[in-house]
Amino acid sequence: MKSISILGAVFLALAVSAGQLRIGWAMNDISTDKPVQLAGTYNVRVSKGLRDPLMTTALAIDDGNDCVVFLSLDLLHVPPHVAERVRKRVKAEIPDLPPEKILFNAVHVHTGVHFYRGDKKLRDEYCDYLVSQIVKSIKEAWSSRAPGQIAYGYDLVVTAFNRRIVYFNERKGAIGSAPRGKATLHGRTDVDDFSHVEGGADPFANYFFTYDMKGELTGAIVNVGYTAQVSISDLYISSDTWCDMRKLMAERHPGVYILPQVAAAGEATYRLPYYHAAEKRSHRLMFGREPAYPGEFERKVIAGRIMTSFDRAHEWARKEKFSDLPLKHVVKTLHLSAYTPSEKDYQVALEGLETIKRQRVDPPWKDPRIRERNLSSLNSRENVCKRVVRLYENRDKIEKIPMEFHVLRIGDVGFVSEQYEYYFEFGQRIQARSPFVQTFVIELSASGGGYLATERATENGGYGTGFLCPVSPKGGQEIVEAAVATLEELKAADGSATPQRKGN
Amino acid sequence: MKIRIVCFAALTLLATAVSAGQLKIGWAINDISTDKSVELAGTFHWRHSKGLRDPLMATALAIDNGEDCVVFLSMDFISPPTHIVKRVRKIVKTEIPDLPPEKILFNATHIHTGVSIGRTEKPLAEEYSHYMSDQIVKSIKEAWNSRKPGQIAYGYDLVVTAFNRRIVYFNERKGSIGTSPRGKAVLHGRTDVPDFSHVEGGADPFANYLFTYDMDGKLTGAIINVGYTAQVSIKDCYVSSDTWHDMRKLMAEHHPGVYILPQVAAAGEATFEQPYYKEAEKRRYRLIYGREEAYPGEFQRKQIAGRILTSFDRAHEWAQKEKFSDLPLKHVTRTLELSPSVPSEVDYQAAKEGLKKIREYRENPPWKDPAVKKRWMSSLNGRENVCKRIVWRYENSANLKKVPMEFHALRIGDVGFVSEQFEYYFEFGQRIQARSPFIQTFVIQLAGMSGGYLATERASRNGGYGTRFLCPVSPEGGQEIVEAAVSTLKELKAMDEPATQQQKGN
Repeated sequence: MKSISILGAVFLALAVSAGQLRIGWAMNDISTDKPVQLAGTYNVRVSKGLRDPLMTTALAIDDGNDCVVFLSLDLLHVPPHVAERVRKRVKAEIPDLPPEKILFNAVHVHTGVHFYRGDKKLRDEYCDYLVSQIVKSIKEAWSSRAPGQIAYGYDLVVTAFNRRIVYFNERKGAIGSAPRGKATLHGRTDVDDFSHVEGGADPFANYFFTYDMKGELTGAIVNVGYTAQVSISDLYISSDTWCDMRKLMAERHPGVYILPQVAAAGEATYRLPYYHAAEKRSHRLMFGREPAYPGEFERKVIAGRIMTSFDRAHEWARKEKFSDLPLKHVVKTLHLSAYTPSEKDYQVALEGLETIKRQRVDPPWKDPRIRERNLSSLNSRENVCKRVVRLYENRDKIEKIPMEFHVLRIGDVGFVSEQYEYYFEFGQRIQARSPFVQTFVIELSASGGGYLATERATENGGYGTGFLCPVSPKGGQEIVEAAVATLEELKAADGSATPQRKGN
Repeated sequence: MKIRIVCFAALTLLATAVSAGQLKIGWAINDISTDKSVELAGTFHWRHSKGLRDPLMATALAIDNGEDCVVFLSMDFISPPTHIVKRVRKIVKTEIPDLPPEKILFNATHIHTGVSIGRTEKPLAEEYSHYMSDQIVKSIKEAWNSRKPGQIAYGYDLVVTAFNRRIVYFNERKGSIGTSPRGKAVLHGRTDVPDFSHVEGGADPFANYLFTYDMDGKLTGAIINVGYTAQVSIKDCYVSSDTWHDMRKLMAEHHPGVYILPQVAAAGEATFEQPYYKEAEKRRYRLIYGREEAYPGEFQRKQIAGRILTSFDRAHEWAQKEKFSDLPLKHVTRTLELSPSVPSEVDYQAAKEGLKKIREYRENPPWKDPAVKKRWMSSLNGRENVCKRIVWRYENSANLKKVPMEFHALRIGDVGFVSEQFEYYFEFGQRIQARSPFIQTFVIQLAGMSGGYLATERASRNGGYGTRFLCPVSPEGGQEIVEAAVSTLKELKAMDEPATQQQKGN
């Protein structure tokens, strides 16, 4: 696989040695109460205000030889122009931090700001604010670095479900959003031809804990296969479940930071595939009242499970703290095989464009709410169809897709990032083949996004597969291979370096 | 899809309406262990018990509402042995005249450290069978006779108890003689290899609980229905109830005197083994316990039991707020006739080659390592039997009969129960739960008589252990159970229109 260094830097050395870790944390608000559009759906949603704050959290770690700044955003994805502006400012304002060492990720809330829709002035204003708050977090984390320790562990917890429902019979799909096939996003399961849920959901929660030199917990990376989208039907800016998790942390571990990361979870959902009446009943009995806002109970219950899991993992992981560890952070650009639309995709897209034209002239929806919702989604559907047509007609000239790719090791823990809504199975392949004791796969990292579905998901069709994916399943496997190879290089590089166990 | 329904024990109990009645509830538990030198059940190779690690138990929960009844009978065993079930029902008919024997819903927890009655030396096997039957009857009698007015509550929780054990690769694997059909899936296959594609499906995240209370609202027991087959102690050559022993110990600490009745949900492809993160798991145990295991699987058993207990408490915290004392109870027992599994041409050829290979192995064992040789040699009879069965079934495929299966469908208020006798794949269970009209539906596998695997269509396509020729019933037959379950549950639900539940709510 061809790889090109990003910003001229490839950091694979022949050997790594352990050094005293220095650790810094910071968190800042990136909210807005302005009437921005909310990101995450085809239909237009305008924010009514602020439900709870969006945050950006930074964790800076260096061992004297190499470094990383993990930067998590309560947003749908990491906007490329924002990442670029942040790096530019960091280069100018924090000269000892190489900008490519910032590993951005988004938690994929669907109640963050839309960067491409809505009033341009508002968007520009928000982007300026967002950039300055992110830079502030990075600066604060970087400049507050102090000698510290880390510990790591994992736990088994249900945070999400697979949302791809497979039927015995094929479904027709939806214009510009769902390729024809046997799978349907959030499909009904109480029907006669329900066959199965396509795959599993990630039961592993990975935790990376940080401490000061006295052994006091200062923060943790929480890496779960869970995309916080519970508040999708709530028209307010919100950090969704992560707000609840931060509240729980403040109660149980005051002053301790958390940095949320989403593992490979392109097909994950908070929604139960069945047992909906049982779930409602459980909420009625737990809370004894109506929810104060849509999704309140689901958010609280999921955050509660993550909190239990956090404490369960921390109880044993904290017994082995490390202060001196090898840290090596590699940043590359991978060039991935693009998804090429099939003849069938092309025909469906052409038909879709015709239908969209008709629907604009003569909307077939009687219910005003549905009509408004569907009409507001037509632009997005049209764009997808046009892209499919363009790609198909230029299929001989489709180029590889560049992707910012981070691979990192801190002692016996590996980290791999990629920028898509990467299906869980890809993440499993990386984790199963990684030479490290634990491997954090971080999705929606760096710039942009889009789905990246596996072979079997592509065969089953439905939303989140096929023409909705910029990169092909083959490209997804290219990430797996690059991740495993780089992790193996990083593991092999540490030769005689042995972690110094502190163990307090 | 046509399903032939035959009355079981001449009784089909669908009436036109059900009404709520005061529930009477009784519990009992008795030991069904042995420390004798029996053979252990659950593997193709033979495993001789070295003694007793921890007790096997038979737990009974009797519930009736004055109109209908059920006795749930859970045993720490691989599956309910057919002859034991028959004998128990015969004794019950004589000794408990007011309990119709077909109202006993047997299930096994599918431990792999129970007694193999078929392989154990005959006098010992007979002695054990009598003991086991007597102890089960004792549990049923005690539970039945101790019934008192009581209440129930129900709830569920989301918890990781198991993983899907079917590892799928990009490339086909050749299978194994008499155990694994050729295909892309391998039971517990390695995942750290370049052609690892995915884990075939998910594992059941739902734990279903039915709690019982006395009339003062004191918790007396609970059915725990999880998609987890306790097989951690498979490498420990001792009689053991595996994780359920640990769970009972935890219950004794946290809820003294409270019974639990374990049921396995549809979990034919479930395992306790993580598909990856093996090093991380070892490290976890090192840090949690800081010592070596006292016996194989000790830490895994304790960890899984710990997660189930956390889940139990989490569900109980809210479920206990809504207790019911008067509920409709209706229990239907039928025999379903299921479409049998028909071997394919590929499997037939593989079986014939397998039989040839087995003959060669017997004459000239190719294994150098004595332990491997012993293990393989002891499995040859089992493999040969399977291959012979495949050949026979293929050559008589036109004459294969439907497979009869004892089937229970039950409702207690807004909770449904469905039982079937196989190692029923999780996907089938999902289909039932998703389509059931009840708020919660407990699917109980390995219930009734002895079973075998019952794999889905996609598992059969992927091949590997636990599919195709290892299944007495076809995927179509698996779906016949789904359809029968859903339609019976719907009938049971439709009956109660005028019946309203009396909520006690203490």
